[in-house]
Amino acid sequence: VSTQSTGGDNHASWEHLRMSIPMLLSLNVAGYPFVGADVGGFFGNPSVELLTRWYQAAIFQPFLRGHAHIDTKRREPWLFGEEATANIREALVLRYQLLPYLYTLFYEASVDNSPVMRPLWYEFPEDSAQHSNQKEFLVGPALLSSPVLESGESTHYTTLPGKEVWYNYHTLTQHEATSSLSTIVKMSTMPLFIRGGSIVPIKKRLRRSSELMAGDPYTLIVATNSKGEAVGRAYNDDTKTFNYQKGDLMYREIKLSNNQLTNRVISGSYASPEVERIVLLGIGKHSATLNGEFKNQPSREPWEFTQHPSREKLPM
Amino acid sequence: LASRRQGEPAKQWYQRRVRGSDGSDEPGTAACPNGHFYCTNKGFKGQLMGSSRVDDGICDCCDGSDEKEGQCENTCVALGAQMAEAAKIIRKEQAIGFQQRLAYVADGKAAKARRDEDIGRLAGERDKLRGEMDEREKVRNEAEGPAKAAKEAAKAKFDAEEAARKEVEDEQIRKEAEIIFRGMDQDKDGETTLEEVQQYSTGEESLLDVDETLNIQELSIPDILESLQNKIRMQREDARKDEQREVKKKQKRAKKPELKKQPVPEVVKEEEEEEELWGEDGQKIQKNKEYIPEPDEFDDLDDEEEDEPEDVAPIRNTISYDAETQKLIDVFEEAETLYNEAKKQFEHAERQVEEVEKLNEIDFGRDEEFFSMRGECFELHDGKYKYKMCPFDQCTQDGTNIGKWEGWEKDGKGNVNYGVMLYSRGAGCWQGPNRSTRVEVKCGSKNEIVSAEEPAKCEYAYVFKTPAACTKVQEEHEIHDEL
Repeated sequence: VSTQSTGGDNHASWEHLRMSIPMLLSLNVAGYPFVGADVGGFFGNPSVELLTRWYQAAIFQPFLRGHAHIDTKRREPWLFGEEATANIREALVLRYQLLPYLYTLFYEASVDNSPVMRPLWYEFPEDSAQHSNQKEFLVGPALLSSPVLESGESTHYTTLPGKEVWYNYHTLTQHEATSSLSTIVKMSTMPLFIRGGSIVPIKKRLRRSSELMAGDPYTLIVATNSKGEAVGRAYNDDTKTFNYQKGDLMYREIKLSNNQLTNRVISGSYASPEVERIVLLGIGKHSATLNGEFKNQPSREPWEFTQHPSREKLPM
Repeated sequence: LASRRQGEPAKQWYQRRVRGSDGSDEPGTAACPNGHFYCTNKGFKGQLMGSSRVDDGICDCCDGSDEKEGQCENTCVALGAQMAEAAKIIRKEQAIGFQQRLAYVADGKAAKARRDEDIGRLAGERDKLRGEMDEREKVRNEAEGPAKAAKEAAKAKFDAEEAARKEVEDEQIRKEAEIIFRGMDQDKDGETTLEEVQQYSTGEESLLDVDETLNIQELSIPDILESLQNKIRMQREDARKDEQREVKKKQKRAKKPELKKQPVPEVVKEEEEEEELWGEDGQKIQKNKEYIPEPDEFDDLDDEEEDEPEDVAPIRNTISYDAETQKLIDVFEEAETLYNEAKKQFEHAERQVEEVEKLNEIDFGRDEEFFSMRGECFELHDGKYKYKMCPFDQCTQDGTNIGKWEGWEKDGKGNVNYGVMLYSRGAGCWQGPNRSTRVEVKCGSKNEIVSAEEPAKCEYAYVFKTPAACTKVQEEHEIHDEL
């Protein structure tokens, strides 16, 4: 992947927060994916609200960095009181959880220069009404970010493009594609949606750094489409060396079709951690049985099935 | 797979039995975000940490129980020994400091007692002196009127006499000038011509300036007469000055050496010496009754006069007061001297009271234990800067003021925290606040600044160790808990 870059000396203003999206989308489709804007703005001092919203938007942008002019006031995330600290921490935790997915996107970008941050038209070219949407963007093919970009906003409108279903990442609620989904937002709300038909690999264990996440097991979010199918890819390597160029990598495709969840190797033989959790979205109230086992998964612990939100447990 | 419905719940399979939201059923893993893990750390001390530290490749527990078996070395016993050693050293320091503090407290309390004594006494003295000053002021004010009036009367008389005398003299001079003018009539034909004037002016005894004769054609007889008169007048004044100088010399030889300098005629100069007495009209009053010239208001800046060694004014006559007038003047002058003396003493006493009050305003600690370090200064060189603190006064970084004494830190409820000193309102910072310093005060065996930093722009932080903060000697286990 190419070197990273920031968007230059921007301002601590809502306008510049909003501008970061079309700016970074342009760079991405131009083949320059590893880009971002200084969180909070380089010049000036952001309000607590602006700083929080900026973090919540920037965690879904490829290059995430807080930065400012030396004469601005200090703005470390813990300097603005308990509530702001908790909100920003939650945003950063979410970013870390998405690292396996992001890493996969960066690998794919290094192979064919596909954008990491995508405009809606990239995935939904037929939805012409969304060709000029500059308020939302996709992270890879599977995640839609619709950040809050207005001060004091309480009702937020999101377009869920295409014809397929979407799932709210946090509440796991399912939605039909629509041009205007309204949600009540609080300061802690980070609107994020999963596209029906995609599988997103994440790691949910909270660690002090990404390096310490290396041995942690995966959680697979399997978001089915209207046909009950889903597909996704997962990439991993040692994250430190160039050995991946010699094939020391893991690149797998996970697919759900015909009621079968398969996990096949696309390339590489790098040993990766196990899967500890699978989240199935949109398969109805019926219980599903997990037949067979996950091949190549060393631990033989029995799987448990839990239905969200009710905590009904059914034995395997 | 059956139908999906809008907003239906999701299903999740969990490989491990991650049930409880507090993760209490999975203590040995990092699976639960809110979970906690406790390492026993036998030989050192137990530790509670978030479960995110379990199985992450970092040995957080000294007994290595947060990682897989065999991955970490057990360092608990060594750490325990280190901790005990460190605790011993701290205890020793605390013990020394504690003893020293007792001495500080004794000194501080004694000083406070002295201040309490002093302030009563000093205030009494001051009030007494104020009374005296007020009394003397009254006396002075009473004497002022009569003295002023007498002086004015004397001056009026003198002025009148002077005017009369001047008239007489002017007439004399006019006559003299005429005589000289007629004397210029060389050919004794009863008329003095311009040529004759020119001839006269080149003569040795001429009273006319050579320069003037250059314009002789333009001069008229009145002009010539006026010139002559001025010259005669000047001659007379020179003669008088010489006479006065002689008189003064005689006086000086006869007098004590404290004769004061005479004022310059053109300007009422400010005299810095004490005991100078000024009358109401700005005229200097001398105590001695000899002839002392006074500035004559008619005499302008005569720059052509050379500087007399004693600045003798070109005066015709000097005013002298009769015995009665002089007595009134003397009475007033004496009253004024006494008043000024009393005022000085009163002000001195008041300053002394204020000094003690200022000290009483400073909080020197619960037991006055910080009093003895006031007036001392402490320094720390960090290789780049010289950091200094003068307790209850100010802090500096090299030559820059980084904070003046503000007070002890207070918590939200207004309780004083003797562990933190605040210095503020220091030198301004470009694009930043006025410099300020926060001093953490800790127990130590002697007074010293142990660290100085600038954690935020133009906001400084010292750590200052002092016996004054050694309020107790801790038990070893108490120190362990702190470590």
